Amino acid sequence: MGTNQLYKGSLATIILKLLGEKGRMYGYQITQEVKAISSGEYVITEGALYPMLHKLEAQGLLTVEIEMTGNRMRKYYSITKNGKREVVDRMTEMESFIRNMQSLLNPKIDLA
Amino acid sequence: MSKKLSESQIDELFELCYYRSVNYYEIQVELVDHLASAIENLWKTNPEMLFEEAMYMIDEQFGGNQGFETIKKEKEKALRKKYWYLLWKFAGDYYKFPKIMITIMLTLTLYTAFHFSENDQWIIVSLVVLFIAFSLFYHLYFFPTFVKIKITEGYSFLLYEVARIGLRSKTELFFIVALIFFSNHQIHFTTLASIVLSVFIPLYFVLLYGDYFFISKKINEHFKEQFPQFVKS
Repeated sequence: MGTNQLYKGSLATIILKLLGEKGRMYGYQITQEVKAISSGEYVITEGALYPMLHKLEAQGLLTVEIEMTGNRMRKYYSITKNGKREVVDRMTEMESFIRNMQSLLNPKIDLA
Repeated sequence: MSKKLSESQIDELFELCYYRSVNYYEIQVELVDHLASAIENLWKTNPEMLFEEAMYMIDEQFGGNQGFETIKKEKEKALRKKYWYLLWKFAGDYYKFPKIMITIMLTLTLYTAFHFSENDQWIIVSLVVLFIAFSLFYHLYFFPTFVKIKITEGYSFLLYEVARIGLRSKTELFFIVALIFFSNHQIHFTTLASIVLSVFIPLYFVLLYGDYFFISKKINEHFKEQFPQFVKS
C-alpha cells in the first residue's frame, strides 16, 4: 500500500489544520504546501482535494472568497469558527489514534 | 520574472473545462485557476515548454474526463446536501413552538375537511388550485422582484441548478400524486389515509414554501458573496 493511502483518511484534518495555521489559501497552494511540508511524500490529487474542500465548505467548516488575481479569478478558502472547533476535536482523535497505533505496532513487553 | 498565462490561454483552459463536461461556472473558475497555477509552476523550471504541451501534461494529472467528472459530481452532491439540510432546518421550525401552531391548525383543518367531505376529490382539486396560484405568484411577482440573479447567456451555475432541481422534483411529485387521485371521480379516504394526508400535505407545503422563499433567499445571499457581478443591483 502506498503512503498516500495512509494519508487519505486524514485529508480533511490536514486541510483544516493547514488553513487554521496559514489563514486563507487556494486549492493549488494547498497541494503545494502539503507537498513541501511532507517533503514530497504526500501528493494530494485534484480529484481528492476539491471534493473534500467542497464538502467542508458545504458543512460550514470552510468559507470562500473569490477575487481577481491577474487575469483570472481565484477562490480562497478560510476556516470558520465551527471549523476551528472541528480541528481541535479531530486533532485529539488523531493524537489518540497515533498513540494506539504505536502501542499496537511496538507493544511494550512486560517482563515482570 | 516568471512566465504568466495570457488572456487567450486562460480562455483555452475554460474551453478545456467545457470539453471535459464541466459546464458550471463556479467549478470552472476554480479548476482554471488550478490548471493555470500548475502550468505557471511548470514554466518556472521549464520556461521553454509550450503552453499546449504543459496543458496536456496537467490535464493528464487531473485524470482526464474521469478526474473532472469526479470533481463535478462531488460538488453537486455536497451542494445538494447543504441545501437539503438548510431546507429541513427551516421546515423543523414549523414543528416547534410557536410555528407548530400553524402546522397543527393546517393538519386539523385538513382532517376535518376530509372527515366531513362527501367527495374528497374536491379537497385535492382545491389544493391543486392553491398550488398553481402559489406558483404563479412566485414566478410572476416574487422571483422577478426579490431574486436578483442575472445569469449572463453562456454561463451556468450549479448553485442555481440545485435550487431549480429541488423545486422541479417537488412540483412533479405533487402533480403525479394529484393525477393518481384524479383518476377516480369519487374518493373518500379512510380515517388512517385522512390522518396520513393531513400530516404530510402541510409538511409538503412547508418544504415547498421553504424552497420558494427561504432557499431562494439563501442562494441569492451566497451568489452575492461569491459572484457579485451576476447579481442585479
